[in-house]
Amino acid sequence: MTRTITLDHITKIEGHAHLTVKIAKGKVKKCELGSTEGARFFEGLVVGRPYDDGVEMTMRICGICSVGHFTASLKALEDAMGVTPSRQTQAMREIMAIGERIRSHATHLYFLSLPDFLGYESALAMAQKYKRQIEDALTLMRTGNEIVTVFGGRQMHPMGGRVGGFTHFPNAQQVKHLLALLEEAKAPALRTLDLFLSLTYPSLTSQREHISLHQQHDDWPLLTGTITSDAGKTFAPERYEEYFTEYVDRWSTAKFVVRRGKSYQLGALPRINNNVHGLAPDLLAKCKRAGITFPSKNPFHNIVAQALELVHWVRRCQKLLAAHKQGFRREAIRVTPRAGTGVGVVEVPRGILFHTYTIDEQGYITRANIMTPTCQNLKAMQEDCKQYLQQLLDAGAGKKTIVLELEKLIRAYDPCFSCSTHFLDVDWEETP
Amino acid sequence: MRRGDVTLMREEHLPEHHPHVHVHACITHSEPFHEKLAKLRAMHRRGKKLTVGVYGLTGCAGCQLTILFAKDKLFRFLTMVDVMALPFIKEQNYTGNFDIIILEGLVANKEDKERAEELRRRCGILVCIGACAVHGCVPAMKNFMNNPEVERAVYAKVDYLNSLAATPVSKHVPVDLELPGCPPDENQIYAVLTDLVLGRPPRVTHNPVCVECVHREVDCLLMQGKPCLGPITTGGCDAICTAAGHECMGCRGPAPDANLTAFINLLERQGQKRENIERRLKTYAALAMDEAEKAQDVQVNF
Repeated sequence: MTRTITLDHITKIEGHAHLTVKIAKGKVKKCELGSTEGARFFEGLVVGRPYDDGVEMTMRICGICSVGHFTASLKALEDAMGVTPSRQTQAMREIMAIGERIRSHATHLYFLSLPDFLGYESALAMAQKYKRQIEDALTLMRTGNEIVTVFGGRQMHPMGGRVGGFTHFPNAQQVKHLLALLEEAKAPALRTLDLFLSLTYPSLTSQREHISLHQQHDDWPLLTGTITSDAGKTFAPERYEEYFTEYVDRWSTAKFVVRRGKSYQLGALPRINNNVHGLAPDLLAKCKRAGITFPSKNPFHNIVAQALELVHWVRRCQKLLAAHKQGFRREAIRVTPRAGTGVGVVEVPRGILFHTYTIDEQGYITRANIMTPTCQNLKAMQEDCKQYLQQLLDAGAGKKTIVLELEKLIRAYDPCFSCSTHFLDVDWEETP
Repeated sequence: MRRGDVTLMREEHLPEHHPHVHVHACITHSEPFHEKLAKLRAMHRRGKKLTVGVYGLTGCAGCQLTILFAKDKLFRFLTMVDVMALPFIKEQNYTGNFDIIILEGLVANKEDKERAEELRRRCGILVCIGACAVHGCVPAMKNFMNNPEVERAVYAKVDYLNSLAATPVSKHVPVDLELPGCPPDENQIYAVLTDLVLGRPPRVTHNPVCVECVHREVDCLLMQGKPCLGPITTGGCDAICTAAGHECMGCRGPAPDANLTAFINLLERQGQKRENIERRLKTYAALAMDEAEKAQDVQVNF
């Protein structure tokens, strides 16, 4: 029996993931991945609304990357209206994005991925034996949360910022508080990296383009940078929709996204592969000792890449905040609506998030399009599942191992429905 | 520690009234709620742990993350109850019946509806948390817009989506307790859960956001000409948005005694367009706001 798989274009988060697998004579005949999350039609709902509402509403797409949608929509709307945010505003947004990166990676690494590798059903079940690890996770999550809360007013769906600037400004005391938290988070971040470098990852090599933003100097991409592929190509953000095309597959409502008909990969691993120069010497040495080198084409190394980013962003955030020890000064927001189209391309925890809006001269949204990283990674995930499945079948693995390993692979990508893959339903059809 | 912060305590440590915690909870279930509470109270006295399940329908997972991010409160809560299902972070989830099920997300398709019905059957008390489960949140706005147009803006073809009208859980199954907010405050969630564990009536507030805003001594944003929905929105959030200088967006739905006509007139006098006001009112709790408008004979024109 074949089941219809649906993955919603926008929600692309938890919900129940489905994988349909068809095997005949030890060969994979079919491998289709999707989710049954209901359609929410965000891009249609923002049409006709004033520009600021676009920020507030699209944030609701995702709880774990609300800051991502916040920064992408702001960037797109400001681009459309020719607004240049002040340097302080940009720094504040960057710090918020770092906060989210820290909490998202910590949540994914410890709560969604680690139990797979240690043989537990959940992080809660690990709490007895791995008390310190869970405490590290919670410390990191709290640090990220506090950063978002201090700048955004709330931990989820931040409200402190809008097109053109911010509505409130952290004072010296709050900055001091965050600096103290970050200092505390440094050791847990390094321990996280050591822990994830000590795990054994299955070997799997997938040859496909890795795309991410590119930063010069010793930094890693966040809200700015050129869209770059590891094949050496660069892409203009305003032509994103031309390069990366959406299509609907026969079995799925998902708008799979491809480049010239081929899958590509986004996320922490491509970010590091394309910005290896940003890897601090001490982190590079740690990776070398563990026998993991970048660039890497093993999708499981996305987990290590996230752990590396965790350390990097805790350090970087300390630097950024240290430059604002005296607090942030109040700035007025001045925006004059004007007609135009704008794009916002940012790196969120799971890869490149793309927002585009067209607005009329009164500042009302007339068109919106959003491409989330999970949507763009979906085809890559599906192909990797197929390849890995064949690899496992050739090695003579049983059904139980296969299901477990495929779940592990899907979770390594940290898709926005990674949570639901704990619920993975595998439709198993085998013809002898 | 932030004001409104509550720590989980055993019954003997808990004062009769927590002066700072306001919890908005609507009891919509037909069976007398206090009988269910009495059962929980009896269990608590016998020292029997409650079984709890946490599930999500279509939504952003933000409410479940709020539960997870609460750190100390979560771990203290875990010592008080048996969380036997939480598919968001657990691989093994109990498939039998629960004393309490906590549900986030709205009903947006057939699967959601069936899931909500199944979960209702499997629990004594169903607690809906978050704007999606309680009010339908942003997706429910679609009910008041040109539906095909909204859908076509996203999908060229929509018949395979199995899509239903975006609705809150209570439109499909009886719900015992509702905690609105996008997302609800973690203190609020844990305060209510503690109340349930102890078998106490959950602490309820009917006050609008303005009451909490004044407590926090925030300069009135309405007076500054911003379209703040504080006066007509149910409180319990500790006015976090207004404290961050951003007007209230009404994510907790209409307050029980909100005077909508007067409020709309006020915003119109401020120079806000009627159409924008209407859309703003219907962003997070479109269906509840529509009912409130009809009950108050408010002329709707969008």
